[in-house]
Amino acid sequence: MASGEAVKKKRAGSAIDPLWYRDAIFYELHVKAFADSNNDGIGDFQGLIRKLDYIVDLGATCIWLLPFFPSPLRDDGYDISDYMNVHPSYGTIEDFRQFLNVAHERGLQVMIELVVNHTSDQHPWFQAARNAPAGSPERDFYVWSDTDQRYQDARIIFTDTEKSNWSWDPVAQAYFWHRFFSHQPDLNFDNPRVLEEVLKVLRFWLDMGVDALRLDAVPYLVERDGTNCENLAETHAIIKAIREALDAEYEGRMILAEANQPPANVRSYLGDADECHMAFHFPLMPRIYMALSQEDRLPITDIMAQTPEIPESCQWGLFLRNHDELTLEMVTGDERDYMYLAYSGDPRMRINVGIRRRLAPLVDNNRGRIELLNSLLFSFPGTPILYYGDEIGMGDNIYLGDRNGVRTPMQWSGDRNAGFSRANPARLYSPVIMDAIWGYEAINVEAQEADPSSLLNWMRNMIALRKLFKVFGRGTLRFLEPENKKILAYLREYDGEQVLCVANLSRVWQPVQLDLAGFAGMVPVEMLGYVEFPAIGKGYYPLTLGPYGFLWLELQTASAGAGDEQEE
Amino acid sequence: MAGIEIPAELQKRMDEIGPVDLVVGVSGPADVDALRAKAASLRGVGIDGEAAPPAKIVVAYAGVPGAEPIPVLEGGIQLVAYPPPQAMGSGAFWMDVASAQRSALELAASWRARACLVVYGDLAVLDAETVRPFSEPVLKANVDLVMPVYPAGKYDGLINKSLLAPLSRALYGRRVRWPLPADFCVGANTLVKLTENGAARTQNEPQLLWPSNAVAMYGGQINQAAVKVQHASPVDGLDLTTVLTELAGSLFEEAERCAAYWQRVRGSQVATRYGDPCPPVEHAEPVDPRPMVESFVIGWQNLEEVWRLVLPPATLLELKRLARLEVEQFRMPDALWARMIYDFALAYRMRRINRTHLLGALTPLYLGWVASYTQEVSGATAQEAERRVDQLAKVFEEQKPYFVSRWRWPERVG
Repeated sequence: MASGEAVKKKRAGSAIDPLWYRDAIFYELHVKAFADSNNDGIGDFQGLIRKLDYIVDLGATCIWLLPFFPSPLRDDGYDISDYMNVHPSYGTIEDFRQFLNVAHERGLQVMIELVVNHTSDQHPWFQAARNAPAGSPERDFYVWSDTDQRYQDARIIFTDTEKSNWSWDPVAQAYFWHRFFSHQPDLNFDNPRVLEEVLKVLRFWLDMGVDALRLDAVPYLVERDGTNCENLAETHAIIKAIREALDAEYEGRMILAEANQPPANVRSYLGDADECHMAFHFPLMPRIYMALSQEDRLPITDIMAQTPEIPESCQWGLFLRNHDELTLEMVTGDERDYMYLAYSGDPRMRINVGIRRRLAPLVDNNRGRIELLNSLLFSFPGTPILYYGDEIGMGDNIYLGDRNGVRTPMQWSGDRNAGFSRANPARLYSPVIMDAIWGYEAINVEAQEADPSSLLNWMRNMIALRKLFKVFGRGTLRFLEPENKKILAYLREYDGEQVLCVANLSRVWQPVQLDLAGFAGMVPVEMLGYVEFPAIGKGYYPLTLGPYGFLWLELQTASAGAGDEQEE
Repeated sequence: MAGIEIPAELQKRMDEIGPVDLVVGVSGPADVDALRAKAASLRGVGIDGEAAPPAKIVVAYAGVPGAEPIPVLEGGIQLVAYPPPQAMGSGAFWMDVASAQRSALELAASWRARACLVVYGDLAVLDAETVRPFSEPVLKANVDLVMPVYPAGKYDGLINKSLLAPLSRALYGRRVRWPLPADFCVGANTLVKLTENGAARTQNEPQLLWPSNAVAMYGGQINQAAVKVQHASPVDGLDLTTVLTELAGSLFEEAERCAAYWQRVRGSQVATRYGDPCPPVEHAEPVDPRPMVESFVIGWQNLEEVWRLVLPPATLLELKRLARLEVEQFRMPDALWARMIYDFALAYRMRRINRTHLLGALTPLYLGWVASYTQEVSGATAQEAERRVDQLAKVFEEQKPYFVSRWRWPERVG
């Protein structure tokens, strides 16, 4: 440099390709639920380290860890009391560092949570704030008011437990703002010191080598009167500042937006590739289930038609289920009613505005439906995110409170406590599932590893297959419009790769005629078995699919490949 | 990019010498006196036509930089020592060679050389007449890689003929005779490709170097140079299973890493040969297939349980039939052999059993192939045997859909 100043080298992540997240397979897990190494009934990092080979063998490439920080655990760790440490139940910061290194050695990336909309009310910042005088810098870390009538247009998110977004604090003698539980006060991003502290947290974990951060509850960072306090320009400015800091000092890292919003609003969190790299596609998830239940592709094609284009370096995060309820906030009232009727016969299956069930129970343990839904997950434009246990078809426990029914211990084997822990069963953080259909003796990793036809082995094959084709992570999407609406057909294209996906949403056989005139002369090759289908002609291309059947067809030119020249 | 650590002494030498056209890297330690004598003959290896000055050449060998006097040879050819790679002395012969080859390539990449000729430690290739078919296509015609074609008798290099060459050709679509070369020459682009890191920063397990497979993956141009030298066989004294494990294991590993590429390759391209064809080597010594067939039969008796984990029932049935044949009748069909290699590659990927045990179980099958092949070509000329080997490679290509299908949906049916 002309001035002689040193060029600060950006700190690289563990992946070479800066767009690694576009080809990734995410695996979401809770440390406490995965494996317990010290037999105290709670999963920990040492247990997780021992199970990393399982995740590698599954084919996942990035582990998404749910919150593992010190916390009173009143919201499953999303109520953080110390951002730069590990909850003692899960191990130490050194254990985390070891986990990170071992994961990287196995070629896995790691995403953790950046929960900065709010803290626990036990966080030292809040304790200092409530004891500090009004108007002081300490008090100003949170959003206070003398009245609970401000921001009345902001909806309440946890409708089952909260009646207001304001709570009275007797110590501060003021109301504090919280979009979630009343023990989770929102940070005040109008105070620049808050962002400074958030960036310290960001750097702490990125310096350690973490590859990605999920920005929790990102639409709610800033509040303004007369608005619904969601998706505000000031909130986007905060995200841009976070991204700027990340880009200035780091390479190959990623931030993902959790914004449970309509597609157009979610799109705004990607900005001009200057906010988040990824965002969850929340509205797609319930519509996939709706399409399956209605045996009609419309809910899917409709929501995808509303999905705007995103910058080249950005990506959607797709999932079938996660640690929360199957949220129905982003569907219409009628659609919500339909979903409740179709997927939650027992009222205990409902929570807030959603359904708290795992994938397999949602689809009545129907293997064909599970496979079909996963085929959509793996072939739609975006990065698939798997929720731990869904790869073996784990069940849930609707008799547990909150969303704990989908957060039960991983079922490793038919041994005591499902092989999760050797602790006294009464000491487990949660009971394992034990009924005849979903219990760990019926559904566990060990049994499915030994069974060539198991769901686990099916998932491994599908993931390995998807990873062979960049088109799934990076390609464009175009729906075909066959007359039979029970058939969902779409084309994915990327860099010369052309893949036709056809899915039967119905429980019975379905014929379909596809308009593939633009591909006349090409040969569809069924991708799972590498079987050539008849060449595409000028007329409609007929296919017949069995119940919940799907086809992935790679469209090849008749003489594709490296050529077949003769020796000179 | 380059992973070699260049000591200050060597960097100083590199700076003094400046830009070079051709780095000739000796893959391993070398006798400096012999090297000096051989290297001097390289003067006159041209680059850009008659009027152009001769190429600026540096000959590099594994040694201690600065420990020896710095000789400058006739014609301005320089000798430098590069630090021996850490992996050398691993006990695995080809791994040592590959480590040294990589070091030579990394040195050349650091130097930003226009080309790098990697030569085997016996220096047999190191004379102008032999070097020219390697270096000229790279320096004059921007060919990305020149691979060697060594003269070989019909019974020479059978692991290469039966497995390495046909599998590489079928997967990567280039008809390269010796995909695991002792000598080869690469251009600047290929230098970068071969020395850049893999998919992840942390995955740095030592690997053999399959330059033609790597170049095929980025669509580079590959030529072959007919050379008249034969290197002493490095397998003498080594256990066959050890050799198979190291070579086949590496190629299977490569197949796992590069699956997204090779599954799209159909057919194969010729890799044009330069230089006068090597005269065929005619062996007179007959080969007795009996001990090999016996090994195969013992394998059937003892390893059937392992083979069951790897091979589908139809293949096992064919093996059972083979095990009952008289030696004179023993013939292993090419398609059967090709499918078995594909099944072993798949089992290697799937980690169905310990990989060393898996590759050990391949040995009796390989001996069965050798017994079959040697009987088939016993009365053939070297050229006829060569055509026979080419026929096998075509069968590997024909059977490739079987491999792709099983790779994508591994089930032991059929």
